[in-house]
Amino acid sequence: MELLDHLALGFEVALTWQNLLFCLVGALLGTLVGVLPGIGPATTIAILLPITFELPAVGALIMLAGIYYGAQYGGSTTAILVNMPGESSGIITALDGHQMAKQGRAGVALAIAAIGSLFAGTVSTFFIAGSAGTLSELGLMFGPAENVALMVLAIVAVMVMGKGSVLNSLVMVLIGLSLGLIGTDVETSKARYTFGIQELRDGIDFIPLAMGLFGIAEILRTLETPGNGELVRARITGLWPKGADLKASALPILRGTGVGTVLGILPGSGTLLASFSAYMLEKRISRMPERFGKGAIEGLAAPESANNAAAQTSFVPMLTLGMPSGAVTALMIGAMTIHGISPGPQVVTQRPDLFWGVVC
Amino acid sequence: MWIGNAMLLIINLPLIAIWVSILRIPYRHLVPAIILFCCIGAYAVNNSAFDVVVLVVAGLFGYAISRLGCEPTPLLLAFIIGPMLEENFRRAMLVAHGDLATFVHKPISLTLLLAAGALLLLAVVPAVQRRRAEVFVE
Repeated sequence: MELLDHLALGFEVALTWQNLLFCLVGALLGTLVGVLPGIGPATTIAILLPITFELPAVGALIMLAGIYYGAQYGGSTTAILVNMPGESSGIITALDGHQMAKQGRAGVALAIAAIGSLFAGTVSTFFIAGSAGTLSELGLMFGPAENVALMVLAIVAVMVMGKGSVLNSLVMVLIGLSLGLIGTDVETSKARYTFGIQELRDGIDFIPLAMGLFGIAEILRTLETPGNGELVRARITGLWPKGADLKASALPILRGTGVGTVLGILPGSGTLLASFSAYMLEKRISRMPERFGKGAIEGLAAPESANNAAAQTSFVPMLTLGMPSGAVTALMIGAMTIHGISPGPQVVTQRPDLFWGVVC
Repeated sequence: MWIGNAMLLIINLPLIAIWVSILRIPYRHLVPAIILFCCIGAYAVNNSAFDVVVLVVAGLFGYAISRLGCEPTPLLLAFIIGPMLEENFRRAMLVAHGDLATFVHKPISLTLLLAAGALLLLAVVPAVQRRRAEVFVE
């Protein structure tokens, strides 16, 4: 019953009132920023990152996780109500979700999105708890050579599976690698690419870089679109879905969770692949595929659950191997390093409170 | 994570009205506030004004690359992994006395490298490329 012990430890950590408060504040702030049109989870985390620095490490990571979920939830809200998704996976949510809102079923759509996310979150939490031990044992077999190979795989995966052309991504990777070289060489203590600028001797700090790339750049981009999109003006009534709605979305939620859980672990794929695959799966097995894109509740329930499941399981490679698989987990790794935790397989064994506290 | 999810469901369904009212605030009024918040945050980390310069430059650069159709995610990932990669590569070379073949001789490392190679191959196969384009268009 090792699994239950671990979960018990996790809940013990997570249910202290400080950590509950961090989680609550994170979730509220995350939703607050995430609900702004065009701002996705990565941007939200980048903007809110500095407020977690004064906290203890566990609290900070719990708060960041809360921000992440809040941002995702806020993102779905804007996708459904305004048709302005903040991140790429929200595009899938907007397809049917916004149509539902137009038909006056915004409340139902929001509730189904939340219920599906919660269910997916529950399942993937158990999945993480079950697999983490094995994965971190595998991780402990990793020496420097294996780590190098894993990092190469992670970089290739983010290039191939991410959005945009592979060539563009390759250029981005090269720029990123070169920026990472700036600073003092750890072993020879020679300054590299500092061009005599004193401040560059410590290297470029991760926080302003991430905040600029994701925060400022995203905001500048949203300024291009005038106005706030077409907000559904009608009052949101009938928040609680009817029995028929729940019944129609039960199986899609289940399938979406399965798809998302598996795809989330793959490095680089992120949540877009998960929600897209879940949507296509529903469309393919549906008896009336023509309803999709016109407010089909399955077309909302499945990708929303897949999205959330993938978001959770994408933490697995990060927490067990120390390997970021996308923008959000990369930001989390940065935050861990700032708190003096070197990400890697040893986190599970040396800081079980941290690992299980974050999972719960 | 799980508690966070449950919390969201409980607190956010009643609060939807508030979030919707935020959506009614014209975006242009929010932008200065967010940018100011970012600047304060970037400064506060190390109490360094240089970080604010980095923030602004990174922001403009990020905007430029997004206009050019590039994603910032691979850049950030490479920035984080880069130093880790260098450190581990140097250590691996020390252990193996500078023999590059060490990456192929270790089974786990070989498997991972093969997987990376396969992924890269997949990406350049024309059929997959077309399918990929379709997916992202949709």
